[in-house]
Amino acid sequence: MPIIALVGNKGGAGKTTLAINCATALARRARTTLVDADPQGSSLQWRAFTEETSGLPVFQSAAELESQVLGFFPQYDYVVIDCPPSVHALQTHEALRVSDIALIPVQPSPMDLWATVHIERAVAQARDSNPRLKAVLIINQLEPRTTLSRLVREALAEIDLPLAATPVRRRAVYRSSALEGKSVFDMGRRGADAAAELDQLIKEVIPL
Amino acid sequence: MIDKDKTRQKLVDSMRKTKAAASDQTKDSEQSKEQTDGNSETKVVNPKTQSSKSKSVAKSKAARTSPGGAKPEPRASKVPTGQDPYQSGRRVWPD
Ligand SMILES: Nc1ncnc2c1ncn2[C@@H]1O[C@H](COP(=O)(O)OP(=O)(O)O)[C@@H](O)[C@H]1O
Ligand SMILES: [Mg+2]
Repeated sequence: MPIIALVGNKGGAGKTTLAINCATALARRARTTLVDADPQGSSLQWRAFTEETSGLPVFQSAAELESQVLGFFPQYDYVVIDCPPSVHALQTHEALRVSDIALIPVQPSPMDLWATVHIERAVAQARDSNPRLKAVLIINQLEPRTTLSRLVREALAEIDLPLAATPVRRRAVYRSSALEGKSVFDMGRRGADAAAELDQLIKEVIPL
Repeated sequence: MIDKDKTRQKLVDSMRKTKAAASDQTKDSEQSKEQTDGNSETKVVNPKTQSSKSKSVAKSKAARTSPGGAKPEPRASKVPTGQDPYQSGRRVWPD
């Protein structure tokens, strides 16, 4: 019963984008739910934009995130948690304490890379009470032609956490799909490349 | 090529400096925690009272409560939320 948290220490890293798209991908294979643990409520807002009855229910997090999440089993197979943009936030701590996998999207930009340094310690602390926690850095918004995108792997090698081999590229469809309350998997040919990279990423980092 | 090498060096150096500063900070805060432990209480800010926006979204048709009916219960936390700008509502984002 994997619990997957999208965590980070910076707004705009791609936590919500990866949460809604990965959760949608998982919902196509197994019973999946998404918990919006960010007070900003972007995942809930995304869901509110569509009238479609989707196989992916989105819940607002309760104050007791841990018991809420555990209460989803055995009804669901996967729970995805979208966290606030700070490792110091209570919701992030609780999500790290209850999760099997922490996915940490990072943009190839200095400020984002510096902010991500602090996640190493947050993960180490969470492992005191949750030794099964796996954490993986994911490069998001990669633009292969820019210098920083080319150097981002070397910068992330300074952080003692594994880096997913599959990066997520910067693609307009991640934004346009969100506006329609959809995922890249629902965008037909326009979303095909994004869907393919996410399928590959999921295969790499989430046990199916 | 030389420019790229310079950028690489700057970027890697900046990561190392950030790491060193973070570990210094950790040591400092652990020391000050040892000094203040026992006579101070960590104030926990309830995230549900932090954002009126999240409340209004929660009331929308998409928002639901947990099927398990998890009752929110206030509880003490080990998290040092007192120093966190996000928890104390000072943070403005997206940034
Ligand atoms: N791979 C991507 N390509 C293009 N736009 C992206 C990508 N990932 C995220 N975005 C956009 O970047 C912005 C911030 O992403 P978001 O998922 O909200 O970040 P976070 O939840 O970490 O704050 C959003 O406008 C989102 O649509
Ligand atoms: Mg978000």
